[in-house]
Amino acid sequence: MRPLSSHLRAVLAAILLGLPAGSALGQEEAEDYRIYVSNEYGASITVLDSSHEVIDTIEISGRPGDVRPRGMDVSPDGSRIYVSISDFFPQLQTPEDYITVIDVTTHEILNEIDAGGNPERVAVSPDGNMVWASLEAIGQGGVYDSETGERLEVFTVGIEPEGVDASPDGQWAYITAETTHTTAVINAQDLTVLRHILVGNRPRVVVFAHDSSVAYVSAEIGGTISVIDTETHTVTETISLGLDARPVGMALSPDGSRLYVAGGGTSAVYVVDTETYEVTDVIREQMGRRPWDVAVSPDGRYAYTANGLSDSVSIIDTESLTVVDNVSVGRGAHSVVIGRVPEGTEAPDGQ
Amino acid sequence: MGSNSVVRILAALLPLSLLGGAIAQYDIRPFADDPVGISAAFGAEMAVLRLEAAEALFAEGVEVDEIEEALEGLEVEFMRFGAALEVADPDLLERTREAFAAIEEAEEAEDQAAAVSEALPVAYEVREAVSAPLVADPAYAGAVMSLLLVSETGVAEGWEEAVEGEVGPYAIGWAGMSRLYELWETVKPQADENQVFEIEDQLSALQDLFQNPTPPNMEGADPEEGEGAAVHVAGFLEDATGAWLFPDRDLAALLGNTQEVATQACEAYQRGDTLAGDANLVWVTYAFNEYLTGTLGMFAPEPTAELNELLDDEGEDFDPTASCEPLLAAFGEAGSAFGL
Repeated sequence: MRPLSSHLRAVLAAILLGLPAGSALGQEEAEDYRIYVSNEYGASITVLDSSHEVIDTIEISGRPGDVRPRGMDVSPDGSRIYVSISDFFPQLQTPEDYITVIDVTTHEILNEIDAGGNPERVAVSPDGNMVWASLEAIGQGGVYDSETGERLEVFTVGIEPEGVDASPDGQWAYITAETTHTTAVINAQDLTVLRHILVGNRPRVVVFAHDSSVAYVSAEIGGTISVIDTETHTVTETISLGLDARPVGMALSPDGSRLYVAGGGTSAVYVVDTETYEVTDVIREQMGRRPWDVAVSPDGRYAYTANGLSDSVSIIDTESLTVVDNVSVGRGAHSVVIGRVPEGTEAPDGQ
Repeated sequence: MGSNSVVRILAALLPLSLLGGAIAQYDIRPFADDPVGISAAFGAEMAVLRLEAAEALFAEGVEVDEIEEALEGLEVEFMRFGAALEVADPDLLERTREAFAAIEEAEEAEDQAAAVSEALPVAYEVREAVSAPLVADPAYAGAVMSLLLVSETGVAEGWEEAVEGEVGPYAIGWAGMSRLYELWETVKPQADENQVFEIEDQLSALQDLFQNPTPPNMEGADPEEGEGAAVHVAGFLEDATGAWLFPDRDLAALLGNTQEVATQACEAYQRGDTLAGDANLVWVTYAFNEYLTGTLGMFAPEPTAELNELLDDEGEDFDPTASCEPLLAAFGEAGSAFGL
């Protein structure tokens, strides 16, 4: 359902908040970025522009239900989207298991990396040279050359690998494993597993702080976020969101002061202060159902959730911490990432 | 294992204790308080579902081999509820033994179908004797529902296996749906409006997957579709009952508890109480295989390998005389790696 245009909603929200009506729109115009939403059951990627209009739908295959796009990440310059593609049989390795690379400017598929092992989520190294993947089918993590697609190494990381992230300082990759409740610490320099860390029950997504000092791991059944010190690789804090929260996706604000957590169980977004580790706000009103992932705009003005049950994206104004719009996307919205559009770039042809 | 290894493992497990303290928003912990009682109720419930599934599949003219998939777990269900039934109704215990044996011994499909139909009313009596008193408590109804939803023989798994071509587990899931709705009625009065909406919405989504005893065309089906809805229902049942309904929420506590139940199993076998030994052992086997083996294997590989060897299958071939001592020793070693 989309009762009002995003522009109108932004204006109304600004008026209600006593802000100059042009402020929200001014921010939108100042930042040119695109929002990419993977639709697990629709086998497509929905693309929104920074004014929150749907400008394209990228078909991943003509066979929805046969393959599913899930986790995504963006190259450091924002110009490429990496999407993990797999079939619906996590226990099998098939030719459908690959990582597809999409050009943000043209929406063309640039490359398909043969990942094997049912990749669920991906992460790009800070220099853009490597792509990490959690390989659900084979209980491993994999790392690939982002240009050639060559598989550089695979690692045993626990049962049902899920979340993966590469630290911004290039030192570490962390990969979570749902069934063993663990996070594997991989040295990204020599490509070896350093240790496994026990975290909350059914860990899903891992996100490093911008300064690489800590990593956050969401635990869906535990209802927690484990904060891992990256010097000692130990859990130093456990943030409780409530057993009903079922947290999965997370995203940091550009300044790193806030961690936004998508709570699929409560259809809410939890806002965590990264200094105090306190939950400062919970956004529930007007949220779509079952938000599984969240991303933040480059200017920090908006947060976007991929809502798996309502097939939509909720747009959250991060100043008022309210939902200002809901936009329909494809079936089974799974993940959301932000791509940056190079200056002077036009939308893809036909839009 | 060297002392450095132990220190590393303990350091790794520190967050677990922090976790346990930080998330205790629900006070009731049925799986810690009475795991064997829940297991008995679950066994009684599952026995009915297996027989209902088999009866429906016989009526549909499904191949006997596929019906066997639904029936082959009856022996384990009996292990689960036998001791509780002996206390509740010794005569019914004997009749159940005979009814299940008749199914096992039937050689022709027609005879087996008849034996299933004759066993079903007996199984209903068992369920009434063993499960009904327990599930009258909403927290325990939630616990049994959680197992029926997300365990390895539950509804979600039935859907997943059907995508892989299995008929028996799907039929059990189909039978399980109506029972889930019945059990939900026990919990519903204490659920708020949102919990009722979420649970009924997702039960309905599950029901849509199980329209008939035999699977629909599974082309393009998502094997995890049932799991998503089932976990969602279990999560909201926790919220409604104020009880921990995922047995492995606190992994260290589950390990400690399972170790205790293993000790009770061996003590029961030692005093010649096979039914009590079986009831305890089958929970130990279930808890270990379903929740503990993966994580233990990463932090305490040697005792985990030993436990895997001792607890393969579902405890049906467990030899107490030869296996109790190494079982308890392996649990002890695994437990000490977890700071227990």
